[in-house]
Amino acid sequence: MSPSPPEALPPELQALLDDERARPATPGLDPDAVLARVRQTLHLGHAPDLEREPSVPREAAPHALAASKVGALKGPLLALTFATGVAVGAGGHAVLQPPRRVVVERRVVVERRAEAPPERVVAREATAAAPTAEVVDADEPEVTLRAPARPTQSLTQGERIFIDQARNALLRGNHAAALRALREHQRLHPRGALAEDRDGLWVEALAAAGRLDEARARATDFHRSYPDSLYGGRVDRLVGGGAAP
Amino acid sequence: MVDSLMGRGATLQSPSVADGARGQAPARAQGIDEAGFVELFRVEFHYVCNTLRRFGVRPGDLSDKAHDVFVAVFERRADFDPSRPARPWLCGFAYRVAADHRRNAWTRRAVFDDTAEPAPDVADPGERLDAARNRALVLAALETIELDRRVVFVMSDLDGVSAPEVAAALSIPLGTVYSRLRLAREDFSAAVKRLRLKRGER
Repeated sequence: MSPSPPEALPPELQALLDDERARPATPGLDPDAVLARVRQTLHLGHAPDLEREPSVPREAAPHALAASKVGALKGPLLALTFATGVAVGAGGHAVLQPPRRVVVERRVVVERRAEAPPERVVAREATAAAPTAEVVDADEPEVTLRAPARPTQSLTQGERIFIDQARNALLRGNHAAALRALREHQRLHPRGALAEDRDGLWVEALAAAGRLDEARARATDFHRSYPDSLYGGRVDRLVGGGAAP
Repeated sequence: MVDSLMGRGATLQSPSVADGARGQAPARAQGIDEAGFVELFRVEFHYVCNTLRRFGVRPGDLSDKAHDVFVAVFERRADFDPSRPARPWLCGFAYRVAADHRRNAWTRRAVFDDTAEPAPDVADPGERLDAARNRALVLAALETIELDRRVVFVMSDLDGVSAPEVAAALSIPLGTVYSRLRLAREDFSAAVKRLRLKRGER
């Protein structure tokens, strides 16, 4: 039996939809600004039709012309005045400027696991890229160096980048890139504010990549970790296969 | 080029494109180049924004989400078939971007806001107020419909896309389109009735 189309809406509701169809453009939206952002995201060049503003306004042209004439007539004098000004300014700056003080601050928190202080600790540098470094010395008690904790807000900002990258990659059908972004998020923010989004997207990325067994395992973990999640139904649909009517 | 990128219904300007929208045009090469993409953007930007509104994206998020839609469109521009109307294809992107947006932990707790309705371009002020109120009512009613039903309803009943084209654009069976459309219409009717009662209308 072939599927049959459903009953149409009554005329009264059709009239409502007519008003919605005539919806005007949302005020405050700037298509040029959005197109510029799209171009920036895609690393595209600027098309000639986008360059609507001339680089020099026509009103400014007479002034520019006058300035060029003055420059032609009094060029040598202006150059001499400019050179004198630069020399006087540089000299004054050198005399008046206080000597520069360079302060180098390195903050390292040392956790000791034994009471005896180590006599010689040769520590690897704790850098931003490697915030935790363990000092290994056979003769000394174990010492761990940790970088100071970062502010929570910046961590949250940082999280969004990976989640957005994963979403965009999924939209493009690039599952490998999505999984890379999600792995990176998990490495850097294992219990971050967007961990639930990450784990939901992970199921989606695995399912989209055809790795259904892994997706199902992840979905089970997801339900265990977030029993009340709004993602729950979607996660089930993703691993269940087939579009539900 | 603009004609070839136009959607259907009121936006159609060229009879030959209208024929193309009905599937009568000869098959043409797939995909659009960068200039074609820019033209598509200019022609359909506001359509995409209005569609995102219907999928629950708030006015403050529209430019971000429209950006996401067109980035995805550019990435998949090779799939575009210029012999077919652009809007069902674009609507599919808007639906996916809106679905992701709604799943986001930050936005799914947001309360739907129907207060920022722009006034329509009509002569009679009384009609203007009614139209704006009707649009707010439609958006509020749409918000009660599940997104996978809503996209079918929007494409079919608002954009006037035929059921087989909806099925092709969303990669779902025709029977699923019909069942989702039936459920969405029921949801929409019930929501309008409920919202009118709540607002003290008839």
